[in-house]
Amino acid sequence: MWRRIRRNWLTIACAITWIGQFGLLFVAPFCLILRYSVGVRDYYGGIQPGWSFDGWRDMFSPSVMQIALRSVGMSLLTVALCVLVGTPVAVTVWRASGRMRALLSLALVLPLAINGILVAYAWQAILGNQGWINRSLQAVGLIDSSVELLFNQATVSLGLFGAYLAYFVLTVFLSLERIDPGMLTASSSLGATSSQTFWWVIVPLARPGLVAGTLLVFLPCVGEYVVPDLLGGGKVFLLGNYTKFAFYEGRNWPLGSALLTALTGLLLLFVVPAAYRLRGAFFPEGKR
Amino acid sequence: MDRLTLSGKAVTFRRVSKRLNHKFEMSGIDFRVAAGEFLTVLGPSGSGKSTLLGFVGGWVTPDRGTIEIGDVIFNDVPVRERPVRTCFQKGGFLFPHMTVQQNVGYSLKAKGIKRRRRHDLTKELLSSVGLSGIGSRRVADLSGGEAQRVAIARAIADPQPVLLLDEIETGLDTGLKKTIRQLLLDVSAERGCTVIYVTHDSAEALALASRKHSRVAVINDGKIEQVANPEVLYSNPTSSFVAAFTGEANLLSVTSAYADVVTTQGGNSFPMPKCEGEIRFLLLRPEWLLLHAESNACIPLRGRVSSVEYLGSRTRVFVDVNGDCLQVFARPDSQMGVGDELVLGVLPEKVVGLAR
Repeated sequence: MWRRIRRNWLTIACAITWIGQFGLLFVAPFCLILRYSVGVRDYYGGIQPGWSFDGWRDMFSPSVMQIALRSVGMSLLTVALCVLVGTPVAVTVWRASGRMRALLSLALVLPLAINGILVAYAWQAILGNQGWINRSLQAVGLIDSSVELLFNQATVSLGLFGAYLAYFVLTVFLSLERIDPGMLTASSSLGATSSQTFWWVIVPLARPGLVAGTLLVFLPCVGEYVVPDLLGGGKVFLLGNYTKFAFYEGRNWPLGSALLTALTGLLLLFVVPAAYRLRGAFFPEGKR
Repeated sequence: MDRLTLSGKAVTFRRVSKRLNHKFEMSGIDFRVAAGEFLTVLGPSGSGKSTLLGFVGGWVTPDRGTIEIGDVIFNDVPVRERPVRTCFQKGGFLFPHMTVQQNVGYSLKAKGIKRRRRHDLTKELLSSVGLSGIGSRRVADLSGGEAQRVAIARAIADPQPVLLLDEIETGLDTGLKKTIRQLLLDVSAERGCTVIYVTHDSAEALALASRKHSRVAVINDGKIEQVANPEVLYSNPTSSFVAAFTGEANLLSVTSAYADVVTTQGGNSFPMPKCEGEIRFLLLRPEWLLLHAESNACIPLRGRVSSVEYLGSRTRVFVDVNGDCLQVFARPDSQMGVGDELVLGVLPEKVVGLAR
């Protein structure tokens, strides 16, 4: 027993650290939130002693459900845009060679180095009333006064798409990198056209990356609050910024907590089966 | 049936060269594979065998020279439009996400053949390679030999005039090698296609080529050393590399060649053999050396046994002849011991002179 512990001390230490941080940073706050969601609302913010299901009842009200639906809908739209635009981009970088490939790979990673809030403010600088587009259009004389481009659902969609595209492309690219180029030669030597090779060989072999990329975009997108706040201007409510609204301006902690609990549950519903299916997809040595 | 009436096309390399990296270059590839021929390409690993196939298959483009298939230049024709099928090395690049049947039927699907007909054809193909009933298995669950046979079945599913086979016997045990070899011979005879078969195993190359009465091309360091029948290759190699690579060889360095006499490093003299160019090596195959030379026609070589290796069917004896070490084969029951003195004999016409 002791010898076993001595021999595997590193593994055990890692496990303890992991369990510790998981408990401290996830389980404990989650329990707290769970308790808040069935607490009594304090109208000045915070929770009063006692039990109540008002938070959950508020959450299932039609207006919040509408926000939830909009949230899921916009996340799905973002995923769709990422798949449509990101996949060809990833394939292009993957097929490139030499210096071009190095440059394009850099271009894949670079957007991840820029903070999301900064990107949202950049959108404001481009789309705002005094932004580049408005000023250019005015300078050319196409419009007399500035047109409001910001603070609508379309802008929020665009912002979400811009914020998550890089994650998607990178994930798909890494998965493409694992495909042996010999497979493509084999396919075309068997008489397949390039589109046949794409659909019959590349897409199925890159599926782990496509699934992981989809989740990596969809999950944080549902809970995203920076983009809808900054680009929606308090007019476009999604689950993320609505939760924040519930805690701050709404001073409804039970509702905010219920929303958080529900969101976490919803995301787990997606993550668990996906993690199960993807097990070993990126590390085939560990498979079976 | 329609797919049996197929005739091979000749493949011609005309002064093909290609620089692959700063160290390796293919150069002066210039030979012709006749229509319907079964050409074996023999060479050590890294000699450019697979690149040679790449020229024909289209995934390697030559820097200079032309590749002709059936008298048409194919240099710029994309891979998928070439009348070529390939069985790739190392598991043949089977598609891991497809079943065996889907793999075999891939070229048929690309061609637009309907599912039902494809199903029948792949079933037939799988049984012809001795793998009936595994059509629905995943590629990952196949053994090495099964995967190799599936790769062959995939390559001949929609037969083309030229079939390229890259190291398909590597990693298989002897029994399977035999099965696959027979399968290949059957396929090439039945389909009549031109086959270019690449291997690094000289025994395999000689055996296959002699079965087909066809030629072997020996390749080394990006250059074709010799293209010849197995018998010629073995008894009349044009270089020391071919001599050593095709079988057991005693190669003696020549130090001087005057008039009709050549002298080796050890100081032994031999009558000058025929040789194109300046003679640099003498080749004496072990089995050409006679242990108890009776005939007066033989050149006598007096020496001492330096070591003996028992190989089962025969015994390898190393004989030190004035500093030239020669290996000879003796019967396994011969009582040969280290230090024994003996006289080896070799017929003068058997001695081969090599210029490089």
